Amino acid sequence: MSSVDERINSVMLSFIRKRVPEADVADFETPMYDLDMDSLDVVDLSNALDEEYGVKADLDRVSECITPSDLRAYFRELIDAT
Amino acid sequence: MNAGIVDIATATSGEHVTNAFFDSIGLTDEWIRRRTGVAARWWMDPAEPLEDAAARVCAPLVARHRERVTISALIVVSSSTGGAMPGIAQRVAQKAGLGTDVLAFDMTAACSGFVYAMISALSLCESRESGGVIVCAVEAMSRMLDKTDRNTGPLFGDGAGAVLIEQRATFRKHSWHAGCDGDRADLMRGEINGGIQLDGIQVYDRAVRMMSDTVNRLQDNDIEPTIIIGHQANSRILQKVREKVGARDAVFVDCVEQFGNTSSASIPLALGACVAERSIPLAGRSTLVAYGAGEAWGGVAVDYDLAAALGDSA
Repeated sequence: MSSVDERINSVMLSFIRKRVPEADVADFETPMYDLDMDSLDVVDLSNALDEEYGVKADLDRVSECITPSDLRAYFRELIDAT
Repeated sequence: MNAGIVDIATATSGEHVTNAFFDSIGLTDEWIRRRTGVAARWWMDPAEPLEDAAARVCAPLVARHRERVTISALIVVSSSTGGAMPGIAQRVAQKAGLGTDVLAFDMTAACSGFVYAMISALSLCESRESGGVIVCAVEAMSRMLDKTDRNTGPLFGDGAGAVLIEQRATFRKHSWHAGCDGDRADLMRGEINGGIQLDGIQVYDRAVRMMSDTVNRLQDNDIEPTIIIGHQANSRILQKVREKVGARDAVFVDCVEQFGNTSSASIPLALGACVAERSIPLAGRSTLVAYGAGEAWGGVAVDYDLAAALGDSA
């Protein structure tokens, strides 16, 4: 796993664990709503990743991400494009 | 001389609606509170004229101060008049006992309306040697609302609030910042009996960004605030704004739980509730900031002395 992926995972887990303290990377294929995250939590997570990597995610694209893994893949695209 | 807020009156009427109302559309109290902070809201009697609700909060200000100060202007702010001609400000002036020698007009800027009217009223007030200006915000958002809409039904409430603006030798100069972006008009729309359409994700993001940016701009140029009152749309938005601005020693007001989103009336309703509860200092520097449909955003930093609202002085 690359250091970028590790950092993304770390940021994502810090948000997911606010709702599910025992969550781990193994849960990244679980729908975010099943991890007790609501749409505003997902916006907060997206904005945190924006700040971490100096990118600006399209919130319409973010809202299409079902799982943490989907969101991670989208941010990987954004980061790779910079 | 500089102008500021010297009195306030607020009112809610009609049906007090708790979150239990939304059980029928599958929304629990816990679900609504977590996403919005709202526990209850007031929905005005559908037959009550909006000008009556506005006059109910303006009349006490007129009665308390008419012997001492000439109230020369009244700005009535609302998103929920339906836009018919004429507006309601002239009838509010008459019903509130202001007489005919008064500049009275309607203003609308959706949820930012009260802040925009405050900016206008402060300039109006300071343009004369003396006299007062009333800013009244009155909203019946329930008349737009589709109460069975899971996205917007629980969010909105009704109410009215009015403040008296007046010059005082002790008041410091006010400052303001505002902006708009008409390209984002589709983020929020509503019409009487037509429902409210809201892009919740975009609005949440934009509201946090624009309100926190506005507070920070005002703080950069101004005196440290005693209180910060953001448009009371959603507690989650207010929490994020609070994190981003760092309220330092200021009281950061959140009354969303009591009233829901009452559009332009939300800031005066929150200020009035805090004064009634004495949960804020009765005098100091207020930063009032809003974001809403248009899109339009803005803020004003202004001194206040609300001892009169509790009858401590005249």
